[in-house]
Amino acid sequence: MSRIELAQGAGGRGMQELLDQVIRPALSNPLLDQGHDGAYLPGQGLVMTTDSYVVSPLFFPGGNIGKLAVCGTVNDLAMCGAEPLWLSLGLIIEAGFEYDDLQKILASLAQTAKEAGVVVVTGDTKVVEAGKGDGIYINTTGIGRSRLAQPFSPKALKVGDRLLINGGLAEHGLAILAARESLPFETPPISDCACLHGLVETMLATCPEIRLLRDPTRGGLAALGNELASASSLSILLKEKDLPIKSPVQAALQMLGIDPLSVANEGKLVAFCPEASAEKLLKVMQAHPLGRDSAIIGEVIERQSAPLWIQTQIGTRRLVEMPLGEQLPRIC
Amino acid sequence: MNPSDPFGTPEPVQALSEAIGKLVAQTGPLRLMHLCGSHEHALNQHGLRQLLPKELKIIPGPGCPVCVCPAEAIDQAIQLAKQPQTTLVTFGDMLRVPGSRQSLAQAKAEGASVRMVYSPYDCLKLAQEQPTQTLVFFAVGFETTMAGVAGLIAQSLPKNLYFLVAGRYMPPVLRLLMEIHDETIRGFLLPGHAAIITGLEPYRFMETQYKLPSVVAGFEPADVLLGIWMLLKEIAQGTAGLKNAYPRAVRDEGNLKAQAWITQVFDLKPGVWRGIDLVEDSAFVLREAYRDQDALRALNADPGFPAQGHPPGCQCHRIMLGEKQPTDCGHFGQACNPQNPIGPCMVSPEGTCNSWSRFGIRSL
Repeated sequence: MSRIELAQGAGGRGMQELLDQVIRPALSNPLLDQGHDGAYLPGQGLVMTTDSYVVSPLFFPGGNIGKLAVCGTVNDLAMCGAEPLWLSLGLIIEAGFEYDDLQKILASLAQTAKEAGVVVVTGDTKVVEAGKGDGIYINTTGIGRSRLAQPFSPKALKVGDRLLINGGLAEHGLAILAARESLPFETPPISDCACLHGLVETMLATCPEIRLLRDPTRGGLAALGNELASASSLSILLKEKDLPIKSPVQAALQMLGIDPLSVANEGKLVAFCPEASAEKLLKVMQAHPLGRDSAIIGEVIERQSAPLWIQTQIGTRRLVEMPLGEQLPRIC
Repeated sequence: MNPSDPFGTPEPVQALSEAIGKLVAQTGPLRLMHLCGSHEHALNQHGLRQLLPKELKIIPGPGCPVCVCPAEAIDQAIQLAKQPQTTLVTFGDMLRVPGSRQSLAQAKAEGASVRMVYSPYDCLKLAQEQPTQTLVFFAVGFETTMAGVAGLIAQSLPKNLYFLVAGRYMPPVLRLLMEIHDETIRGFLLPGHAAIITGLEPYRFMETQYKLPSVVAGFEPADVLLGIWMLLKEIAQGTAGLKNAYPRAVRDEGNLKAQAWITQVFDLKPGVWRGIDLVEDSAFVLREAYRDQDALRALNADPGFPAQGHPPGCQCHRIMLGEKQPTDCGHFGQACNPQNPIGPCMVSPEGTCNSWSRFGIRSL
């Protein structure tokens, strides 16, 4: 392959290969090689992360690119167990973009940052020729302070650990798809886009023994499970009957032939904790507004012939592959 | 699986798999074949083969419209997508299917204009929104999809909307299978989606001419098992009925209106099934009355090179005919994988090799 393909940006196997074979080797160093959503910086307990937002459409039920640009980066910090503090903001605007839309996006971004208690402290703005951007692209870099004694690592996972999720799967990806393709829903699906650091703070306060947090964004739960199981040298078994998926979401994805496990979320996290703490953690999560539909969805098992498995509703077991990642391009 | 659908719950699945076990104890070892990529998908997604006795093998057949779409049609689609002021519109599945030299996805990355839609009717809107652009819908599918395409074409359409038709009709390939199969297959699971349109009659020759049972089946776990159980019952009692195990979706006479649309718009001609061969009366082609909408006649779809033949070493043709399984092929899971498919069965999620690869299936 001599050129980058669109599928390599979609969070699945193609993207993993681009990172592993091209990007990481070019830049390899101990901090980058931690391979988490953000880097634990030496010394001060600071955590740094960055994310670029190229979503299409820019406005969708449940949010817009401005809100997403705060939530996504805040969540990457939260998944490192960090309290989000500061953001930088890079705007790449296409000539011809409507002032009104820019203002709506910035207002939403400011509001979300305010609610999250993060401050935009620096920024950069570029305008590119008409036809050379897609309205607007946003990059945010986030810095936060870790609440953890020991950085999270997939190596900490142990057989028997439980996986918990804070609610329904696949809502962001479906909302974007429906908005972009004008799919005729009576009630348009709404993105779950939300900042999760508050939920994380409560979870860590009650259950400091949480082994690992990760948000199932691009590539969904399937990518998350495959990545973490591979990195931990163990396997993960999901229970299909316990997966929280709202029935309209389930029905729509079934009609479209899309596996909910591989669809992006923007307001969901997966927590790994010891079996003994799982029920306690579940109760804490369910008591939080962003965790009402939380569920225990699986467990870490001994290494099998593949990283990620699911026990189906009818009691059989099959493996879940790393998604290829081209079904829903440009979702975040 | 839809959790609210009783056909996806454990109880009927349990009951049916026990009943299947009892019948197989009577019949002894046997092989059944399905003709539908969605059946292979259901078998693998729900791990249904784990519930069947070892003596019973469900063999995947040629039932994936994307997989059997010939390389020549992809080459033509790419040629059209590269024309100025022209957009090729198709289903997402088609993007990665290799043509003779590249796929639509690769052509798109190089600047060809390709758009993905979820329904043929989306093209209508696209054509109306962009009156100066030439829109070509690349229509690939079996009778279920082609009925929708026919319904669209039967309307009065904008002048800038054309169709590159590469749809295929299922019953003739079953006839071909009957003529060449090795007689170890004792019954056929017929495709529920296709039968929604055609009903049962196009498959009557199975009962009258070949004296083999065939059953139309749906796609939830209990639907598939019910179809298998009904086939086994026919076999156990020595009958060769054509039965409907999917009456909640399929009427025996099919969808008469959809049939009328298909007949109005399409003629059936011999058509190449990728990996299989030329199959008589199996290719949907636009009738003379619709020649102005036919991309092959009204536009320049000639890529200027002959379509490439069968990829060396690929076993797809024998897999689609039930003679081999994916793991018999040296390319499977190695050079040929869902990301970089070599053969037709690896290109679409409904293809047997693709499904086996994604769900980690290694044997029947």
